[in-house]
This record gives sequence, C-alpha cells and structure tokens, in this order.
Amino acid sequence: MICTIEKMNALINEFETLDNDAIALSSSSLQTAANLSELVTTRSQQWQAYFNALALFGFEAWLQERAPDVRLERDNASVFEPNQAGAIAATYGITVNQFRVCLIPIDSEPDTAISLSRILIESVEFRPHFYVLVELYEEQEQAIIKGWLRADNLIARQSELSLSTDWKYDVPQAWFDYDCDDMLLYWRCASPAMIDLPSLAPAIASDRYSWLQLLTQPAIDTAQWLQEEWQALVTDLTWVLLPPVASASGLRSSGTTLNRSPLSELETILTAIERTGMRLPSNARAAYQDFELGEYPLRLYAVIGSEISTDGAIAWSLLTILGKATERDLPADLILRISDITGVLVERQLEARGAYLFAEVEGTPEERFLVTAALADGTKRSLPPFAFQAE
Amino acid sequence: MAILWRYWQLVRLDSSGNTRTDVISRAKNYFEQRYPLVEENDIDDHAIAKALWQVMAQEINAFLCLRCYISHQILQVCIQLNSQFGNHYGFSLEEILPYVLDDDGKSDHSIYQPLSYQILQKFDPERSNLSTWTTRLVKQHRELNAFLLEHGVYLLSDWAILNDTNPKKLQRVLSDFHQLTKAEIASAIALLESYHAIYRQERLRQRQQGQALGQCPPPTTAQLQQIAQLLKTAIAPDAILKRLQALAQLLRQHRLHVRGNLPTTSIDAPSTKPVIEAMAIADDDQEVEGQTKFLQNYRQLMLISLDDAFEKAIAVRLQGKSTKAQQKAKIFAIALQLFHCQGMPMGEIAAQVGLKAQFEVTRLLKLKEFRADVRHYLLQTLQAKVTDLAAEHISLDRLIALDREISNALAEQVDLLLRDAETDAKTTKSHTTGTLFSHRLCLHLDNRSYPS
Repeated sequence: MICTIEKMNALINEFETLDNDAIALSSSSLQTAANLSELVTTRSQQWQAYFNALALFGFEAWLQERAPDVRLERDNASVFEPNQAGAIAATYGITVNQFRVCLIPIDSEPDTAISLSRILIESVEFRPHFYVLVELYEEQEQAIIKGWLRADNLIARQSELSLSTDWKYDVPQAWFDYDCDDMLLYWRCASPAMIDLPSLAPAIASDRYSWLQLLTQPAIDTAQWLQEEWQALVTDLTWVLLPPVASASGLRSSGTTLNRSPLSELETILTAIERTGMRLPSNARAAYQDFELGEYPLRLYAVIGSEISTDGAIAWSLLTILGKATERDLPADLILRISDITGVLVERQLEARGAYLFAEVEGTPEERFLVTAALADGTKRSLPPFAFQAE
Repeated sequence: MAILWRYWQLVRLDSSGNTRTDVISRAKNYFEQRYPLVEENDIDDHAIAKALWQVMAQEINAFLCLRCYISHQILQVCIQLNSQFGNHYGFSLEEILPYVLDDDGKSDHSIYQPLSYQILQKFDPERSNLSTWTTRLVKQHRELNAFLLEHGVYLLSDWAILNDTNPKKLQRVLSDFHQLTKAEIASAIALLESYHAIYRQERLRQRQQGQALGQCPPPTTAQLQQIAQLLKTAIAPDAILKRLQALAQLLRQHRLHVRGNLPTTSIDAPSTKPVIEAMAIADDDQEVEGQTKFLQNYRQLMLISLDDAFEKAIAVRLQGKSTKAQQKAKIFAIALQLFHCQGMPMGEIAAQVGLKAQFEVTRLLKLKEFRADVRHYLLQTLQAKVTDLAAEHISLDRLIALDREISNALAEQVDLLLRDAETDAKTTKSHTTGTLFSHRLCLHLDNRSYPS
C-alpha cells in the first residue's frame, strides 16, 4: 500500500460533517457583520463583535426558516452599539415574541462548559429569559442553533457555579437543552411573565457605563505591584510605580517639599490623610498616572495594600488620590468616584480650594473597582478597573 | 515496501470521466534503468521518492515517475473519502475525482498546472513522505473542499482552528491535554495572540469587501513577518508558519479527541444533571393527573383544531416566492404525502421526487420539526378557546407537560375499525401508517391540493 489504511483513516477522520440543522450564513450577512466590527474602536474586540453579529444573523436566518411565525425584534441588539458589540461573548438586547434572548456564540468544539460573562447573569438589565447557544463555523459560513437554557433555571442553580478570575461563570454544557422545539413552544405558547426571575441582591447598578467599563476593560492586576513584578508593569506604561511608601509618617521626609516629585507629593498627602486616622497596610505600594479630564491635566495616585486575616482570607485595599498634574488648579466641580458592580461605593466632591480628593475601598480578590473622575457637566473618565488577582 | 509499477503507471481521467491507467513507457524505462536490481521489498517508497525528487529538475522522467506515483495516492484518498461519506452525503467518486486527479501525463502545462506539480513544488522530503504529503494537499484542496461543503462534509483548515481558539482555551488544551510546560504554553499563547492580531484583521477586511472567501488560506509571507514583528523576534516567516501549523495540529488532536468521546464530564464540575430532568422530578403527581383528565375532556376540541394546525404548519413551509422556494414547496407537499399516506421509505421518496440522496428528503421533510410545529399551533388554537390555557395563565412546566400529552395522543394507533370505516367512506387510498397524526394528516392532504 502507498499509505497504510490506519494512516489514511486518521487523515480522513479530520473531515467533519454538518448536521441537518446547519444554517448557511449569507454573504451579505457575513459582510454586514464584518462592517459592524469595523465600527468597534477597540481593535481587540473586533473579532468578537464580528462573531456576535454572525450569531445574530445566523439566529435570524434560522428563525425565518424554522419559525417564521415568531417575531424577532433586534433593533436594539448590542451588535449595533460599537462600544458594546464586542465587549463580551454574547449578543443581547433582542427579543423573540417579547422574550428577552441572549445569544452566545460558541465554536464547534464540544466543551464541557460554556463561559458566560457575569453581567449576563447578575445584571437585571442584561439578564435575558433565554440563553441560546449559536455554534459558528466562520470558515464554512454556517451556523447551528445548538441549545438553550432558561434563565430562571440557571439562576436556581447559580450557587453551584463559581466565578472565575476573568469574571465569567463556567456553566456546564449539560445544563443546556439541545432540543430547540421546546424553546419554540415557550415562545409560541407562553408569556414572559411566566418566567420567574428572582430579583437580585445586592442590587446591581443600572449604570450601564460603569458595568461595561468594569467588564470589558482589561483590569490592572494590582497584586503584581506588591510582588514587584516589574516585568508585567513594563508592558503597561500608563502606571508609574513608586518606591515603597513608609507607613509611619515619622519616617517620611518632612512635609516641606522643595521639589514636587510625585513620591514626595504623595508622602505629604499621605501624612495628612493619616492624621485623619486612616492607617495604611504595611505592604502598601503606590503608583500614579497622569491623564486629562476635559481640559484639565490630572494625576491619580493609587495605593494598594493587602492583609491576610487569621482564616486565610485575603483583603485588599485601594486608596485613590486625585490631584493636579500641573500648576493649573483643579476644576471646582471635580468628583472622584469608586464603583463596583453593585454601584457607586464612594463619591467625593472637591471642597473650596481643595488641592486633592481621596477615597478608599476594601475588597476581596473577586472584586474589581472602577475609578472615575467626573465634572458636574457629565464629563467623565474612568481608568481601567483595578483587580487583585492573588496567586 | 514499494509497489514499483506505481512509478510508471499513471491514473487519469479519460474524456468521459472514467479512470484509466496508462503505462508511461518513458517513465518505466527510466525507472528500470535507474533501479535495475531493486526488488519490491528491498527499498521503501520514501527513499525512492526522495531520490527522484532530488533530480527531477534536471531529469524530466524522474518528474514523470513522481507524478505517476502521486496519481495513485490521489485516487486512494478519493476512494477513501467517497466510501466514508459519498453514499450518505450524496456524492460519487466520479464527482470528486476531476477536482484533484487532473494530471494527463503531458509535459506542456502552460494553461493549467496539475495538482501534482504543486504537490512536488512544496514537497520537502526531510519533513514528510510523499504519500502523506499528497493526502494532505488533496484534503486541503480549495475547490474540492467547496464541493464537499455543499454536501455537508468539511475540513476545518489550520487557520480556521486558530481563528476559533481563544487564549484561554489554548491554555487549557495545552496544559490539561498535552501537558506542556508553563514556558511552552506562554510562548504558544503569545504566538496565537500575534497571529490573531494580524490574520483575523485581514480576514475581517476581506469580509468587509464582500469577497467570497471559502477556506482560510495560509498566512502570506508579509503577514508572517508582521506576526514575527509583534512577537519581537527575528524568526523567519517560514519558521513562524511551521510553528503555527504545529500549534493548529495540537488543537486538532484535541478536537479529534473530544469529538470522539462525548460527552466529557469532569468529576469536579458542578452537577450536570439536565435542568429539564431536575424539573420533572419536582413535578407534582397530582397535577400531572389533572392534566390527563384535562386532555380527555378536550380530546374532541384537539381533533377539531388539528386541521387548522396542519394548514398552518404546511403553509409556513410552502411560503417563499422565489422559483427555488416554489420548487422546494412542490416537492415538500409530494414527499409529505408519500411518507405519511403511502408509508414510502425515504430512499424511494428521493427517487420519486427527483432528489439525489435520502438525506435530502430527511432535510426536506424535517419530520420532527413538522410534528412539533403542528403541536404548537394546535396548542395555540386551544389557548384561544380555553382561558385556563392562555399564555398569560399557563405555567411553563404545565405547557411542556401538555405538549408531551398531545404528542402521545397523536402517536396513538388509530382504532383500526374506525380507520377502515373512514377510509372506505372517503377514499380508496390505503393509509399505511397508522398513527393518529398520519391518519388525520392524510385526510387533510386528501382534501387539499398542495401547493395551492
């Protein structure tokens, strides 16, 4: 034989077959999806935006073929919003016969779990009635409506899931139902009101802006600051790490600073803050970055510290100080805000002739914080979220 | 062990598309002169192919010998493909051969280049043997793949596999399945991310222009250079390509593994009992009993409503104004009748309505979906008549239970006496399939002529 049978079989085995339910993605929908992805300014999100749009168009084509009597409303689909289109692996904001539906594009390799961004489970605004898996074959230009899961059934078992460090839940594939006829039965013969979605505690912020920032911006892993993982920091040039700040104010250089170096400025401020009774963790490390809010050049110091309690749990703290980056005075209506997924945790407004604002929060390693500088007219700027991913 | 005559017999297609084997005497003479003493089990193909390949630029007959050899391998791959998929997916060996078995043994190929030329151009005897290499290029042949895809058979290219894999998954596959070291995984992830940044971008750009793309082509040299730049390395484009292919291969192995062993469940994973099952256990027995009674009461209403449900389910399938849709609608109506009323097997239906393969009938009729639609429309009619069942009142669990009951009722065998009586009265056709569903559907079809 030219080639042994086993060898040949192994080579032929790489061929796969599409099942009967595959839906062809039209060339115009492929083009539209690519065009939508082009509007996404964050380059790294473009491919996801493309896939999310393909999931929508595949689903739409499937409905037209399988259940043309069912009404799809997709004008508000996330894929048409450039800042949301590729933020997470999902298409939301669509309804089918008034049921909210969230499409999850998946690849064709069977996996034991489906990764769902926590926003899709924990936020009232984003949580659908149905999660629908759309298997995509981009190269073959095919889509398959693979399975579905009712949100109330997912939420009833949410305690069995754990949140991973990238803020996703791995939902076992076996929780999904792979016969789509029952899903159609609901859409055709039931009412959304009959799906009992428990109200959420703690209430999730309805501030879509903060949510998206928290979920979609790659978080700064501040645990690395403490470990002095310079390597990781070098790649992130926006933050400038400062030498350790001594915790006892007595060790610091005296308050009179001739040169306005960031370190000495920070030490002065910390000395003042500690007078109010606040105590810094002994391992505290600080970094700063300059940025502009509207026309104002600002500087934000972030001081990170962590403590391990007697039961081994890690608590970390984030102290932020917002001041000026140049001689120019701060805007009188400056606001410093720290939020997490539950909403705004702290908000401070500048007092008359104040030189800086500060705010502190504490959290567990699962938590992330979003620091926002804002003006009264609504101008605001958030820095990439702070996370603390301890080893 | 080699079968030597393959080096001078060329398999090719004649003008009517049949395979024939020509003895190429120039090749035979050359081969016998070159290897006068070789016995069939003395020498392996790889050594011969390598030696011929090294001189083929100078010696046209060595080139011919290799082309002969390749033609046999191409035929083998096609036979294998056909025996594995052809029957079920509706294509024949004769249909796939012309895509790849295109070398007629002539020397002048200014107009088109046979596949064997490309195979030899890109062949590297240090890296693979000629038969495996040939199989690989046949499998990756663009037009062949496009043809196979039309029949529901496809091969994911390396580049599609890489496009579809995110770093998190790569990390998992490389650590859990291939057990690579941390450093190896880190460099693989960096490579994948750089590849994504360049290759996906280009794919998107081409999609934006609405080009028909088909199979993902290998990255170009320029793209490979850009990938190297992102990686901040001076590795040559060729080497980057090899690394990407190796990475794709690792992913493909994993893919084959999981597709072969389904479903996989880890012990640590949360309980994987399907939600529906969990629900069923929670079901209240009494309620189920109440539902049974309910359906008994409404059996008559159900039967009356069935006609409307058939009407709607069929109408939905007959819609579409294009010629293609009209054509499909016509075949659908006929096939539906043949299947339900005459009990004709799918294979025969295919022949009757002019479809090539049984799977096309399956795809056309979609029996399961059709039944589901009928039940759903039936329920909608019931809902309009019985307030209790209205969408705003009925619980989801009850709805499912009701759907199952209707399904059972429709699957019941029709009382023979009743059926015979009705059949005699109405029509001389015998309704060979005996479920209530088929029986009523045929009555419906008898009274209608589709497509209208």
